[in-house]
Amino acid sequence: MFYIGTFYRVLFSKPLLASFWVLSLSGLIFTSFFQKDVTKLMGVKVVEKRNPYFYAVMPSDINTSYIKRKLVDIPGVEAVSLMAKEQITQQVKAVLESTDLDWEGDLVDLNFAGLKIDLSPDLKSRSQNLIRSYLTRLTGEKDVTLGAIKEPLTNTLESSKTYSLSSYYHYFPVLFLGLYVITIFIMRNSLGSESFIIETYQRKTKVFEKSLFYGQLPILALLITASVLQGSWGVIYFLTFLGGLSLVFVRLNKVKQWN
Amino acid sequence: MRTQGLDFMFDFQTTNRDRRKKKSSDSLGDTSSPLSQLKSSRIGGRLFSTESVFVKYGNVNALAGVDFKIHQGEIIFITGVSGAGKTTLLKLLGGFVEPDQGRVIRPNPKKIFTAPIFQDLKLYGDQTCEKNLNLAYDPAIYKNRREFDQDLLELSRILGVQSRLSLKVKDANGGLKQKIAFMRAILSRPDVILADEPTAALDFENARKMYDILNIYNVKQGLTVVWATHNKELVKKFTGRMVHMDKGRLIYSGHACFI
Repeated sequence: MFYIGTFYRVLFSKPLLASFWVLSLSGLIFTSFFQKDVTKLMGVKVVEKRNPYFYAVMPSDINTSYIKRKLVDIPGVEAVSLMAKEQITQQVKAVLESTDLDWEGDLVDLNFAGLKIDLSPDLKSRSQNLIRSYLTRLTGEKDVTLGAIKEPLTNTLESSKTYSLSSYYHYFPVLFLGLYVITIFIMRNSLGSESFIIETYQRKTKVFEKSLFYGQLPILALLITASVLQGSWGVIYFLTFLGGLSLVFVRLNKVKQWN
Repeated sequence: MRTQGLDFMFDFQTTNRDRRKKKSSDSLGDTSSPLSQLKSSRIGGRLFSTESVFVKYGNVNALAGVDFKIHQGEIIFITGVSGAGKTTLLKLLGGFVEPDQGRVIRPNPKKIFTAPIFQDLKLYGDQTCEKNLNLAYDPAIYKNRREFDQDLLELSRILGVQSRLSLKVKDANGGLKQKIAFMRAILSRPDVILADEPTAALDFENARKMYDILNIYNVKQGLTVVWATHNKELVKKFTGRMVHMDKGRLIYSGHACFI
């Protein structure tokens, strides 16, 4: 406990260093154990889209399939879909009610066909009007009622190769590992000088090595737990790294004296 | 292993001046009477030994053929001008440098604990005096934390730094820093103290106080003290063994009264 305390006391006595340490460790854990979630997060781009459309209502005896086929061929029309009977009734009733006239719904003949015409997002209003005119010509001016053009904004999540970092994913754990090593490397002087003082004024030996080793134990426990929970074996990489790191720092131990 | 506290020192600061004088002639070692000091000091077996030791820093001979022995319970003053080799000799005894030539024998650190007082003090500037002293708390030699705190409080009272323990070392004056470094060494309850000019920033009264404390430990607990100093006033009053160095050579080693 003394050595763990020494390690973390030295680490957290330098707030900037401690922040880097926390950042690198969290990054290491997330990129090692939550790969699926992180790639999903990184591979998705939020796109804001305008999708203009309008409704056209016409008598049901008009050949809507023909009109649909003709409309789809025009540039600027994304899609044309036939409206369901209930939807048309609802739309027509809504229009009639808005006129404030005393309509008796049951007496009105609602034998209509309806189309929803989706337009391209970047279509200018002049082109939109041309499409509407063409539709009027196809059905006959008297027989068609066109709704206003609506342009709702929608946020869609799109997978974009430009923004996706998935292909570079395997570099991230290495990057965070590098940051972790640098943090410990910077910390070694402070830990070394504190160890030197402890060894000089207390009956303890190899405080530097022990603090470095025991300081990693809680992290190791955390990684093993994460491994078990996630069913991945990232901990093996970390163990290899830890072994390598220990060797490096024990080799560098000569600089630990406060001189 | 030494586990006694500072109880034996209580009389030292609580009694009046006359009583202190009386006690000092009995046990503290009257520095004006060589015989009383020789009687009180308990010279034991050999602790340190150097045989024709050479230490070089580049082309400079810091120590040139030094033969030197220190016995348990001795108080030794090392004198000499700057660059004479005093610090290197202390570093050699403390194991902080190794000889380029010759042989040095040091006591087993598991049996004989040596605490240095460094010339550059090696205190943490951004920490308080108290935190610096806490680094000397070793549960292996103190029964509990309370015992350590009592010793710390008692020493700080004797040295008159009680009210300044919460000061950060970087804000402390030179004298206070030296007292803290001195206290840290004492609180580690060593068998040997290697003090490298511990009173350089202190007036004679304070230097004398430090010397008296070490003298008490020497008499009561057989503490061995090796003290490098420029303080001529202190050296004049001292009548124990004196080592004089010049240009890395040991010029004189013997009782002060024979100089």
